[in-house]
Order: sequence, then C-alpha cells, then structure tokens
Amino acid sequence: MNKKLRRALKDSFAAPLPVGKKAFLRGVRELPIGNFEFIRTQIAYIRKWVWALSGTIFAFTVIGSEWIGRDMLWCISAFMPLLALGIITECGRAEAYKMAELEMSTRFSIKSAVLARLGITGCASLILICAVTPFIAMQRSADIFRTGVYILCPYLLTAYSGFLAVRKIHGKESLYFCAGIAAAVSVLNMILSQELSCLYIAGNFIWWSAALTVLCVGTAIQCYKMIKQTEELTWSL
Amino acid sequence: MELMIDRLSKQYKNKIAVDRISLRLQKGVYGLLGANGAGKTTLMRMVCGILRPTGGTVSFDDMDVSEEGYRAILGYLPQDFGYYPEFSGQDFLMYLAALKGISKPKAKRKTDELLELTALREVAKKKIKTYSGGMKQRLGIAQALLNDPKLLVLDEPTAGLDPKERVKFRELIQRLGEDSIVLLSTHIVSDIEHIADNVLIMRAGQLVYQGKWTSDDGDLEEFYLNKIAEENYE
Amino acid sequence: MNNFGTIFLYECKKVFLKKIVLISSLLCILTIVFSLTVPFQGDYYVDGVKLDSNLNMYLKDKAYAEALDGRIIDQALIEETVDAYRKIPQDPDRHYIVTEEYQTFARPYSEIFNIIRSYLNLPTSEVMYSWEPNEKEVYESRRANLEKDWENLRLSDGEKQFWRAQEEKIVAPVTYRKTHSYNEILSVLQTVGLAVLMIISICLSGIFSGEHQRNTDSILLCAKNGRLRLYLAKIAAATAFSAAAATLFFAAVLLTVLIFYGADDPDASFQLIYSHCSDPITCAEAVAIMFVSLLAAAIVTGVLCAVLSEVFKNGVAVIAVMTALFILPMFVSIPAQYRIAAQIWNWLPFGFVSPWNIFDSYTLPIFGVHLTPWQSVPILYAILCGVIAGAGMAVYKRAQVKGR
Repeated sequence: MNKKLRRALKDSFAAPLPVGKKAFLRGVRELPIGNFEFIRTQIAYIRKWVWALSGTIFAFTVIGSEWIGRDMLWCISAFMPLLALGIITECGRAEAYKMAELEMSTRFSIKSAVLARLGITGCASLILICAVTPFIAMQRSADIFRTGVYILCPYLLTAYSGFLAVRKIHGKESLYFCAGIAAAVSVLNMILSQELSCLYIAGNFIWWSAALTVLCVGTAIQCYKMIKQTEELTWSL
Repeated sequence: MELMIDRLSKQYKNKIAVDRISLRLQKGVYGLLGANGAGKTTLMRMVCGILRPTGGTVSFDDMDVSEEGYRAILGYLPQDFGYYPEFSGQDFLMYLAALKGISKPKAKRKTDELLELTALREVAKKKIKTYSGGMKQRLGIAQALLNDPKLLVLDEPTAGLDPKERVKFRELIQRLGEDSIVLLSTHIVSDIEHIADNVLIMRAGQLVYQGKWTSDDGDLEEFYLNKIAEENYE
Repeated sequence: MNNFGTIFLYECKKVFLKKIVLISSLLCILTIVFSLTVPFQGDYYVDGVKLDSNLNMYLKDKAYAEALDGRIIDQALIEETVDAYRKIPQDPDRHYIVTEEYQTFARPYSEIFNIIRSYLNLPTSEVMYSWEPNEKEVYESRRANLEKDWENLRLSDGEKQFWRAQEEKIVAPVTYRKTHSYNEILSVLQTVGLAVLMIISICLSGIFSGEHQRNTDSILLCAKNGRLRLYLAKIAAATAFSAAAATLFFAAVLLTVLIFYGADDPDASFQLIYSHCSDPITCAEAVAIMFVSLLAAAIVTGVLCAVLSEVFKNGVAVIAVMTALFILPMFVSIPAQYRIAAQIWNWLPFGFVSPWNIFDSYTLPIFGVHLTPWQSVPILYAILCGVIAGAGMAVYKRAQVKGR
C-alpha cells in the first residue's frame, strides 16, 4: 500500500476509541527497575561538570607533564580538593535543595541515591587517581606509592571536612561551606609545597602515612554517618 | 494619600508578565486575586521598587517609586522570604528597623510592640532557625509593620498561619486599612471576602476586574471563577 | 535617622559570627604556629647523616649569635671569621658542616659568614678558601650586585639615582645583631599573607550573594536605607573584617615568634636579613611596613570579594575566581624584561604579601619623587578600593529581585 493511500485512509477513518484501557493497563505486570538499573540511571544525574573536571585533570596531567615537570605534583594535588568537592556536592545535593524529605519517601529512597552516587563518583575518582599517579611519579622519579599519598591527602581532607559540613549545615549554605573548604585546602596545599618543602622529604613520609590513615578512617566514618542521616528526618522543621 | 500606578508593564523576552495596568488606590484594603502566573507577584515587586518595569510609573503622593522617601513609607512582606539563621527574632526586627531608618529608641519600642502583637515575645531571643513555619511568617508580618507604613504590600501573608492566627491577622489588616493603603495578594478567597473593601482580579498580566466587594454582592469565589472562565471564552 | 552605625554593626555580626570564620581562623592560627615551629621539629641531616636534632641546632646557633651581638662587621671580625672557616679541611667526600673543625671553630661565626657570603655573592668554597678578607670589598660587592640587579630589573636612571641616594643613608660597616625572630617573620609572611587573603575570600564571598540566595534581598531592597546605606555598610563591614583578619593573624605571628624565638634588637639593620634591600630601615620598621602592606592587601581583597559577590550573586563563583587568582602566581611569573607588566604583577594583592615584592626595587615616580613599593602601593590600593566600591555601587543600585 503506498504512503499516499495510507495517509488518505488514516485521514478519512477515525480509529475506534479504546475500551477498557485502564483495566488492561492495570493488568499488565510492570517490571520494577532493579538495583543495577537504578545505579545506571543515577550516572545520568551526576552533573556534567564533575565528569568534565575528571577529564580535564587527566588531560592536564598527560599533556602538561612535559612542560610543568616536577611541579605537576603540586598542580594535581591542588585540583584534588575540587574533585572531592564534586563528590560532596553530588551526595549533599538533596539536602542542600530541600528535596531530602520528598526523596526519603520514594521506593529508592535518598539513602539509595546517595549510596549510588557515592559509589559512582568514588570509583571514578579512584580510577582517575590511579591513572594520573604513575605520570606524576615518572616526572619526579619518585615511587608511585609516595606520590599517591601526596595526592590522596588533600583529596581525603576535603572529603572528610565536606561530608562533615554537609551533615551539620542545612540548605544551600552547606555547598558554599564546602566550596570554601575545597578552596582553602587547595591553596594551603600550594602554600605548604612552596614554603615548607621540608614536609615532603623522605624522613617525614611517616607523618603523611599516618595522616592518610586518619583521613581514610575519618572520611569513612563521615560517609557512614551521612548515609545514616538520610534514613530519617532528624528534626521536624 | 494615593498610590498611582500608570500603565505599568513588565516584559520578559516573549512573555508579558504585567500588561499596562493602571490603578489609583486610596486608603483601604485591596485584595488581589489571580491564578498562578497571572502576574500578581511581579506587579507587587514593581510597586515595591525591587523590580524595574519595562514601561509605566508607580508613585505615591507624587513620590516616584525609586525615591528613598517612597521606601520610607513602604512595608512589604514577600511571598517567600529568607532570614538570617544566626539572628534572633529581636535582632532581625532591630536590623530591619535600622534599614527602615527608624531611630534606636523607637525601634526598640516598635519591636517589643510587634513581637507582642504577633505572639513572638517568648521566642524573641531565640534564633530564627528554631522557629516553626508559622512563627517565621508572623515575624515577616511584624517586620512589614515596623515603620507604620502608609503603603503595605502583602504577598500571600496568611500562608503557614493556623486558623486562629489567620483570624487575628484579618483583624489587624482591617485596622491598618483604615489609615493606609493595603494591597494584599492571596489564593485564599475567604481572606479577601472578610477584609478587602476592593477586589482586583488579574489574568495573564491584565487587570480584568476592579471594584468594591461586599457580602451583598454574593460569593466572591464563584464570581472570580466565572470571571476567569469568561476570559477563557473570550 | 541615619542608622548607619546600627546597620554596620549588624552587617559585622552577619560576617563575623559565621561558623566558617571561627573554623578558618583556628586553622590559620594553627598553620602559623606550625610553620614557625617546624624548624624545631625533627632532626638535622647532612648527606643522609643525622647531625643533631633541629632544636639543639637552633639553640646552639642562638647562643653563638648572642655572643656576636653588638660586634661591628669590620675588617677584624671578617678576618676572624674567614680564619675560623679556613681551619676546615678541604674534603670533596664530606660536607664541611659534618666536620669537627666546623663545629668547633667555624660554627660560632656562621652568622657573620652567611652575611659576608650574601654580600659578596660568591660560592661558599671560594669565600672559605681563596678569598682574601677585605672589609671594603664586602660592602662594595654588595653595591655592585645591587647595581647589577637594578640593570636586570630595567630600572630607570632616576630610580637608580634614588636607590644610590638611599644606599648612602645605610650605615657601613654594619653592626651585627641577632635577628632570628625577624628572619622568621620575613620567611613566614608570604604564607600568612596568602592564608589571610584566602580566609577573607571565603568568608566575604557571601556578603551580598547570601542575601540573594537566602531570599532576604526583597525585604532589604525595598527598605529606606536598603540601597546606598546598606551597600556602604556592607563594604565597611568587609573592610573591618579584612583589617581584623590581617591584624589578628599578624599578631599571632608576632606572638608565636616572641614565644619561640624571643625579642631581638629593634634597631638591627634590615640589611642583615635582606641584603638586597636598599631602604635604610631597621628590622622593627620593616616589620611595621610588612604589617601595613598586609593590611592594605587584605582590605583591597575584601572590597573586591564583596563587589564580586554582588556582581556574580553566587558565593561559590567568587571563591572559584579568588582561588584561581591565588594559585596562578605560583605558576606564572612575568620576566623582568616586561618591566611595567612585571611591576603590576608583583604589586597585585596576592603578590604584595610577599616581602620580596614589598621591598622591591621598582618605584613609582610622581612629579620627580620616587615612591618605594611600601609607600606607593597602599595609596594605590586605597584608590583602587574606591574605584571597585564605586563600580559595585553602580551594580547594587540597579539590583532587582527577578522571578524565582
């Protein structure tokens, strides 16, 4: 049947009205989305700038290491707080924009959404850090583990402080607080690397390892408390 | 005492939010009704001088809206206003009194008076972040009355108030309407029925009805719905 | 009624009583104390060999410096110093510091040796073993090195004449004074300065934008004093906060230095710790100048942050811009051959907290009078504050509450 005839028939004859549509649809068994499907949908809701930042850091490391050389470590560790800021803002977004109460009442509650986003962004950050560390270690002729620790410490410090801020401060002010923390850690990191380079000698690495351990544990505790906080409203105002 | 709104318009790109509205308001309570998106809040913001109109003028007793003298006689309660969490209720009122140009002794007196009027005396020294929604709304009403305004603009003032507080508020507005111009916007038609002497109905940025309203004129809600429906057909 | 004072006090309350102010202030003070006490921590290593603890090293050096305090760095003292260093045997396999001879004979004169070396600008080994002690040569070398620096910095003839005249005012031969405390202040100033500017940026980024984000702007803008007076009160509050931050943290530096390093002679010549400076000032005067410079940089940064807060209406954007401004100078420096650009770059607030830029050789010539950086920059900053605040006022006066 040619298109013209088909179109003419469509225009000439109205389709019969559906009968029993609602009953039929009610009878159709809809498969609810599973956990993996839910996590996949959450990837789309993570803001573009978080992915763009990760991409920029990686590209900057690969391309810029030739020109910047040894100082690449300080550049990348200055960017790490911004990466942590991305994770914190993703997890604290519902609370900041007063959507928490609504999201708590859904099937995949805010707890699931936060866990999913934490997992996605956390894994992405880990992959990024693992990818850039060898490049930087090569420039400094230093061992990968030590370089990784110098990069992770500002990241974890920002993450720990940011999660603490998001838990204690409600509303959009928490995001502003987190931005302030990220900026402060970034600049502090730069200042220490320039003014107190003695902190980075081999003899002081034990302190860095201790700091990493403390920050890892602290960040994990804050994450756990933040997830717990999403289970129910702590105050009815 | 006269508020003159002359061919006031506000246009955002392709949308006309307020379309050449002209009004002359004297002492009394004016109830502004309209659907969501009718342009009520936009009109009120232009009357308060916090939104610049695309065309037209607003003046009060020959004082243009941009003058400091105009703002000195104005009291405004926005639909959705914020607060400073670290301030107490008393701090908030004293701060706004200073901004309204009220001297410190008078500000102290007015603050105490208004906290009593809005039943916030007990929580005056507590931080605003501990207040319930209704308490915050009453604080907002209190700040609008600090400078004994001759022109009082209230955008959804009874949102968040319980029925008892709403009755008290209506009585207050009626009293204020005897000495000032009160422009009150709300979705609660019964508020306007009880307190407004005049009704203004807006639709799609235009004023479709302006006139007095008494209980003898019938059910306002029915009239309002008919008015809007009438416009639809047109 | 004016009410400016009341509005100003409430604006100060809004800024000062934020949680972030307390937390960042505590962190900054901890950073200051940590930076100043790091030299005492841990051990001193030379070529992988532990010599002593840093604390012991400092205490010994302090005792030696006190023994030398008040002696004129003349031919006699220079000869004594070089003779002491000449006792150290030449050994290419060992650093001279680890030798017994250095610890016993030369170390008591290390302060004088370092001054001689910086004035001569020669390698350590050459000064130790081949140079003939000559008082005149020490001071003339310094002058010659300064002339070379002025040439490299592309100073004008007028500037060179000015600095030569300043050099004539410097007393030579110079009297040695113990200056450890001043040295520490000089070394930590840039760190403290950047930390202060960072705290100001974080704490003041919400001074205007917070009103828009919290939805309090509609009530404020329709109030009688809600435009001009409120704007001026906020700018005044930003200025007060910046001044308070600079004063508090500088005081923290002074107090920490006083506790850990003690008080040194205020009349010590500044050239003892910074030989490249031609200003005929004492160390105490230099500290006062550094404080005023920090104060000026802090205030202009505070005003800039406040105005950006209104322009962007977003505190996070302000923090992002200011952070970029702080990080940039750590990677970018303008070569001296682009004289004007280099001068402007060094005199921007994030650069001007560094003592090397405060006591720079670039001057600002005004009607034939040459003003040094620490004389001209605070005045320029005051003018800049007025310009920035004026621009901000134009933006704020036209502020509207748009649809939300």
